[in-house]
Amino acid sequence: MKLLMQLLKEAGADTDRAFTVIPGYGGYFKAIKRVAEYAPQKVTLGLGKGVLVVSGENLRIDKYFEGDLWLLGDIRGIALE
Amino acid sequence: MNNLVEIQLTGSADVVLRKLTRADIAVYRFRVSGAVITFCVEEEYVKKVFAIFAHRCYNVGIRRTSARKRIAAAVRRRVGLIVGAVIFLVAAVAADFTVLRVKVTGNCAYLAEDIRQIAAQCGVREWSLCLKADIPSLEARVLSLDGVSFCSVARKGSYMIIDVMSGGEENTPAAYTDFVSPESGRILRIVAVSGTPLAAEGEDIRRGEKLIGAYAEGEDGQRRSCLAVGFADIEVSRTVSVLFGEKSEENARAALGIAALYSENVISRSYTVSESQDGAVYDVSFSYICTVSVNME
Repeated sequence: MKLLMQLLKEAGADTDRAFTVIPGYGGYFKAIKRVAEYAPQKVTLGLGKGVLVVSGENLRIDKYFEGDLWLLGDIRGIALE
Repeated sequence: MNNLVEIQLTGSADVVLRKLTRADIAVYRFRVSGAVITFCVEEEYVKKVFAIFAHRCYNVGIRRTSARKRIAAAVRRRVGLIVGAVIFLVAAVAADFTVLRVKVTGNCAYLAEDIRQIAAQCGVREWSLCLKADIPSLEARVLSLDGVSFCSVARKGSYMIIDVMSGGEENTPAAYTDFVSPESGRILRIVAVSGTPLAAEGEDIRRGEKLIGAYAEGEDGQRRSCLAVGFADIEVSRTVSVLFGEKSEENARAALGIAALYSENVISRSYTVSESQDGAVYDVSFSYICTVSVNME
């Protein structure tokens, strides 16, 4: 985690808009403004600028509060559009 | 989390999530099945959710209440059962500590009352809770009673069993030596159950002389060791001198009474009295039957 923070700091970014994917379990997404589309195979998450398209199997929102979103399911791909 | 309420409504997933997010309501376990959306919110936000989706098109409803509420409802529905179970548990625990009877077993029935008193002083009473029973102290105090050689305290259900044994059952070890006379006198009767008699009736014998030998002679004349078992009645004669202050019939009776101190089987007694500067000296002569035995117990 310290290495990540150091790299982001050097790149001029921060972890406020990062996400973490755990293969086969789900993912943790930050700074989600809205859920634009929701289906078990595809979830479209609205960011401040652009959208994050999460594709996979049996996707479901386990917790969503103040921009933090726990998405359970088998995440196969993430696209930033 | 056990304070989550599951809510079901009909609507669009993105709209529902947007409305809940704007209202700062945390959404849990959000699932979509066709047009039906199911999600959980914390119990305190239920009214707020219903206010947000008050429009009839959402068709909102509670699918499952929180675990806390379900437990409370279950308790309310089965209050009689739960109270009964609690009473049963309390009764079971109380019964485990209750003594209904203190029972004294063993061969010390004559000490039963004393033992019960000791038990009461050590916290073991009939028809009472036995929370402060001091069993080690009870055992120690019972063992300190005269003649008690064993004491064990054990619970059997609601009974407290105090098993007490006296030391009267110890076996005297058998003597494998010749039976010698502990007294001097004339043998009136001798019976050798086992072994060889070494004295005959009518004989005079001295203390320490053999009465029964711990052997048996075979027809070939050879001696084989065996246990000496038997008894003998010996007429023992004694003379005792007693000094009294003066010569009188009362003192004479007292002097003759001395013979009873030696045996209950006095067969003859007589006395002679002589004057001395200190008073009257009574010389009492008496004889009594002394029964001696070996390995007969």
